[in-house]
Amino acid sequence: MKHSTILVLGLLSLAGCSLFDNALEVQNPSNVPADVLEVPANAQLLVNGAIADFECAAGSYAVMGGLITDELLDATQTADRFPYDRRTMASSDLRYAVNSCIGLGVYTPLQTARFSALNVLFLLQGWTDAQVPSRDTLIATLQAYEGYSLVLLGEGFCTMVISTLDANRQTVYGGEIQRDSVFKLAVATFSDAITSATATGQTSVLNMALVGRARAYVGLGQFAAAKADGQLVAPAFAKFVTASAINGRRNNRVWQENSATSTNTSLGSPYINMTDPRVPFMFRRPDSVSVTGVPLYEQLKYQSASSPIRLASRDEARLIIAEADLAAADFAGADSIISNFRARGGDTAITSVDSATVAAALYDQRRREFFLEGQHLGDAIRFNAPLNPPAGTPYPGGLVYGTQLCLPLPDVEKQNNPNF
Amino acid sequence: MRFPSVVAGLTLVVGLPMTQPLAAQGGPIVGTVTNRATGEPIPSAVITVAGTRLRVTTDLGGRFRLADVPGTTAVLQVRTIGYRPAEDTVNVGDTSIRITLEQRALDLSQVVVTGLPEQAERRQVGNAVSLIDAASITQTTPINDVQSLLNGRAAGVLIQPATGAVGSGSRIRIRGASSFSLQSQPLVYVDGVRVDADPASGPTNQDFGSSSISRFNDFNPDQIESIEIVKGPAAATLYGTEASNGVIQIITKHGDTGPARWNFTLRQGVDYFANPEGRFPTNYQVDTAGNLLSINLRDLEAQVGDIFRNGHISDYQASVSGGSNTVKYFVAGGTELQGGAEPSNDLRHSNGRANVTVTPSDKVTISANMGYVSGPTDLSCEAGCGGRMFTTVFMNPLNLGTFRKGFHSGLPVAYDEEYHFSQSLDRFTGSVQLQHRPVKWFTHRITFGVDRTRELNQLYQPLIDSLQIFFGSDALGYIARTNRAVDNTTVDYAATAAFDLSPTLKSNSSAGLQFYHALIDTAFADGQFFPAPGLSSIDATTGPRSNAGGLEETKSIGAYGQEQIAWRDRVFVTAGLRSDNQSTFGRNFTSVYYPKASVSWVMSDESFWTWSFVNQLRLRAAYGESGRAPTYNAAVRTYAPATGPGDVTAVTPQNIGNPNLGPERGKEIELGFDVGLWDDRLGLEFTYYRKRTTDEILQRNVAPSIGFSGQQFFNAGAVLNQGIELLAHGRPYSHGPVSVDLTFNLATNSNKIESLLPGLNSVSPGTFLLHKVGYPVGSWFAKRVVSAQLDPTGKAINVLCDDGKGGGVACSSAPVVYLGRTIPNVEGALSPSVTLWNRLRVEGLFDFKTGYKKLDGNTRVRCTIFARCIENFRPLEGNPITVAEIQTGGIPDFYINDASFLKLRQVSASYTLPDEWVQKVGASHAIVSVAGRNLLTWTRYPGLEPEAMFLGGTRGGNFSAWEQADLPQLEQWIFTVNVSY
Repeated sequence: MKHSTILVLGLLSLAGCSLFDNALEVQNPSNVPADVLEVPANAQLLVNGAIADFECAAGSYAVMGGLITDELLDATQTADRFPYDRRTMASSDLRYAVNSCIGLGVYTPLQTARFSALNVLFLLQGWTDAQVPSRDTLIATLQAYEGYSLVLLGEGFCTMVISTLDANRQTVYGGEIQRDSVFKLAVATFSDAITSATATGQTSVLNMALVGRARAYVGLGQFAAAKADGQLVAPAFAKFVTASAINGRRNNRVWQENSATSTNTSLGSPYINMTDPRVPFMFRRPDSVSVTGVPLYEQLKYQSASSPIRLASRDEARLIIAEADLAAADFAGADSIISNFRARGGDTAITSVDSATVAAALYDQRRREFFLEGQHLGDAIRFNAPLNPPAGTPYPGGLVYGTQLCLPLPDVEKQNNPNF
Repeated sequence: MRFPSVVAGLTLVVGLPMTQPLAAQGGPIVGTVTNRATGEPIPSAVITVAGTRLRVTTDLGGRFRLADVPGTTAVLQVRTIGYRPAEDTVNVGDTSIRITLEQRALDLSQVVVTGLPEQAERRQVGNAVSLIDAASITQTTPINDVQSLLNGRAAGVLIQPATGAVGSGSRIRIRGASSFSLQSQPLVYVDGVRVDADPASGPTNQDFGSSSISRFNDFNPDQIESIEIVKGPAAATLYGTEASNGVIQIITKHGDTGPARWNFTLRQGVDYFANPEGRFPTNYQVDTAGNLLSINLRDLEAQVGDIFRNGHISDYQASVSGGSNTVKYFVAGGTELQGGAEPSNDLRHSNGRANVTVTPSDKVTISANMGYVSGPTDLSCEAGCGGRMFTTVFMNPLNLGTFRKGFHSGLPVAYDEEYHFSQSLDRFTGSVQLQHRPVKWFTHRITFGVDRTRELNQLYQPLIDSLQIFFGSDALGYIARTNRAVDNTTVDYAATAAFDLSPTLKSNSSAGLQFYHALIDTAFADGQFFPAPGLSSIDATTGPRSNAGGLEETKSIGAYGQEQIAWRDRVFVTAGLRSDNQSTFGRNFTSVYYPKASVSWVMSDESFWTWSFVNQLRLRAAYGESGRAPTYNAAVRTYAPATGPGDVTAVTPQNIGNPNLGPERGKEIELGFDVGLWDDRLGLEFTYYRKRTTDEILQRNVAPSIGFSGQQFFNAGAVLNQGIELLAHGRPYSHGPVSVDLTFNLATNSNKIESLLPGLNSVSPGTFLLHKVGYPVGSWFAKRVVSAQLDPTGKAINVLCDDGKGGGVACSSAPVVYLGRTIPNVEGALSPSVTLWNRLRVEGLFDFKTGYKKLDGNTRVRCTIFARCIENFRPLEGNPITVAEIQTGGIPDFYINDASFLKLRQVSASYTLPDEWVQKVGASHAIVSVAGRNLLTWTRYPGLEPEAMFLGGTRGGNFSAWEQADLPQLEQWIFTVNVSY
């Protein structure tokens, strides 16, 4: 009895846990293991996810770009939002670097969007048409969205890292590259999208990619190529970043930050002095100021959480053509296009042949036309526009305005990327 | 639901027949045996009449009655475990004898249960076990919560309170920091059941992801008999993976044989923010004409009156215990109300406990322990959230004369009206243990227990149009509700076979199996904007709504075997092995094994021992290993559900995972001795520990360019913790009616990272924090200005930063340098007490922590963000180095400061009322006491309070000691009446 009991106990101990492996099965429905999900049957789901990642990132980029430039003023008392509005961002700042798109992160959300598109693209390329209906269409779509992620990363950041996948879908870390290199990658990606969309007759994706490639060419200073793409964009084309009131991640981020129900931001001085239907706004009420003393103005362009934000359009293509004409000293061509846009705001036509004057007029039309659409940060950098308010002006939240426009490559990348 | 029926059942139990009183046939002697130091009754003491066979045992109230005592006088001899024997000559017929016993300074016969297959005397255990006699402490000292019970009473157990808000918790660390990325909290068990002891749960009222309600404090100190603490792998091997941070076991009160003993406790008290005028800084600004303006707390109080209130504390507890040889019971319940220094902060908890032990035969014992706590905790908006502290500490002289009345943002009362953080709690912790001894040499037991917590965490912001002026759209209304259910289930089986190998050699062979299951189910929903005042439901909101949910499940299984050989009951050699598997291990990782071995030698029992002044000496040594499991889902690459264009289903990358992830492994050696000197008037317990943690689970940020956000867990590196722990307890003076007791404990901790990954020298776990090889875990690292000058305009020039080599270098190219630890390296406590006439006891508790630095976020924000410091406007009046650090974009050295402190944590005076007084109200024992907490602080820390800090989130986390608009620890006074019947 004694020895047999001890023997049983000893065997139980030695058996350890292997007897109970099945007892360790757990359910975690909120987290789906990737190897379960990344199958052909889920292709559309994965593509939806990649687009959703981009749309959320783009909304956040529109707000952050608006804060860095003069479109938006921060009206909160949250100190870690101040560096953007104050133009004193540092690579150690966390909000732009690691926050989710809901929390106004831009670097991580845009990189996630880019990499999601790339990852699903690789998966699609490894599957067959029989496994995935409309596989080529999905591929073209993903290439276009990946291109836009690259464009925004190129426009908004001082330098960039683009990591990729090798043939075995293993991560290949990128090194630090300049903005031009990012735009070149965008051009290449859009070119793939144009090829794919042309082959499958996807005109919407084709136009989206054409505008995107034109925008990337502008970033590269290759205006002739930009103009060529711009001229191919179909009339009345417009592609939007969609939004929804159903889910917080899909809310229009600009509306979330400035609307009848949000005083997180106010509008910058150039806009509150405009009488342009493209820049609709209102002053909230007499004497309504933020805790830091910022007068509170409300944008009226996006009036609900589900208002879409324009991503690409024929209008953008026309203004790109105007910019190309300006670069080629075709002032008449540029003036003609700019004047058409000035008419939308009730302004008279422009007939200048002075490069600076035309550039200023073009810059002005772009900021009106693309008000709070995520274009202005790239414009401010590219046009080398005067800083507003000027550097050294006391900042309402404390300290003074700086000169930083492009977002520095964040520490979170440099400290965790083996190429640094 | 379950609890009322239990109470009803136990009400019947109370009426069960008790032990029959002794038949009285001669001269009687009746009396009470009490603790000389505390005055509390001592149950189970054995009283013998010298020269006779008469012998009785005291009941729960310390009472005894001897009948038929011959003669006119008798010599009574009193003995019980843990006390020095006493002898007293009394008159036969005296019915109010009072015999006091002195507690031994060292008691090796004390029984411990933690870390062992079955209970054992301390002399048998080769590692240190800290014991806190909670029942005695709470008898004379008002203790608000369990963390206050631990603070300063166990060497090496570091309690770091974070905010003074009532209901809030503390970080608990044992023997320093050994994990890089996992929480450093020890495991907590209540009567053998693993429980949720999250120190930072509830609504994130501190913002930055930081909550402040402690689940550890749900357990009512009045219902706790004792607390056992084993401090590291050497002692906690049998708890396996998860136990390398130590184990705290709470043992609740149980009944004892005897008639029903009722106990009632009433407490009334007050807490308040002491000396706010002397602690808040003066802030500065310049007006448009360039005039320097200043503002301080008195200016604000002139506008709105007192900013902080006196919180009211009241606590009503009742218990009844007793039983027969077959059934013993302890039933308790009460209600506790605590108001904080901010009007929106209070706690209203009701609690109950029913513990029953049934012994139907001498082979079977069944015990059931059930505890329940319920009620709301309301919290203030604090720290990063805003609130009274925030709007006050960042006061702005430019706002004087405006609607802000000098405050930074909203008026204090406006915060109370707009932000309502609350938690409703229902928690049941219960266990059933069956112990069976089928034959003399074999015992086994099985424990089944559950800990079920239901929280409703809520943030409610009503629509108050008039407050939009302060809070913008927040005042348009918002409601967020999170239902969080946490279920922990423990199944623990242990068997021990004991037999004699020879007349001097005994063997104890044990084996056990443990299963642990944790389920956390969270459901969140929120909605913005109420169309009309008074609405508060999510259905009523007209703006965006969202919802989220999550289910996290983890399971672990472990088995162990242990063999102990005892030689002549003075040398005990133990060896054991534990094996674990857990659902959170990576799929490429299989089971893990943890060995242990220990020796305990009671040297003073040896025949060669002739030094009589050393009446007890035990040497002990232990080696053991245990682990820490990865967190839930850390090993798996996952997607999270999302919503795509057109609100269709989509997914988004969530967690990068790591299939090779395994547990951390802690290996610890512990050496020590326990010594009792001068007839146990002085007891010393000394322990040296050296704990090396390998396969550290390290969390590093993922480079976002690879498409994932967040962090990845991986095994890498090693950390060495070593230090000493000393506990000294003695009675330096005892003469006539006066006795003086002193208890002193001291713990040191040296902590060093030995390695990370090859080629990796440091990893940042947060702002200004680094895990760096050669330095303590989670240390402060930043640039530091070493020299600077100011030009005539006050601009810093010739600014040089520390180059890390003892020299200076331009700050733009300067490296970050070590500024200090975030965790104290020395901590301790001194508790003197004086007892007069066995009735009046005055006791104090001083505790100290030193060797660490804290980030004063108030100064950071004042000087580098809001520009409210004098240096911002009159730099020539400031320290050039501080001015340079401010002007150079906020180099943090000037606001990361030594936070060492010494606190008079507690003073109490308790008086045991004379028997004749208490008998007039039919009672048997009564104590009244008055006690104060957090009365004095000695520190060089320049911020508001050396202890205040975020508790969790991005500014708290595992290491950061970051204070920003946190409420300091409150001063408190409490009056208590405790009556027993």
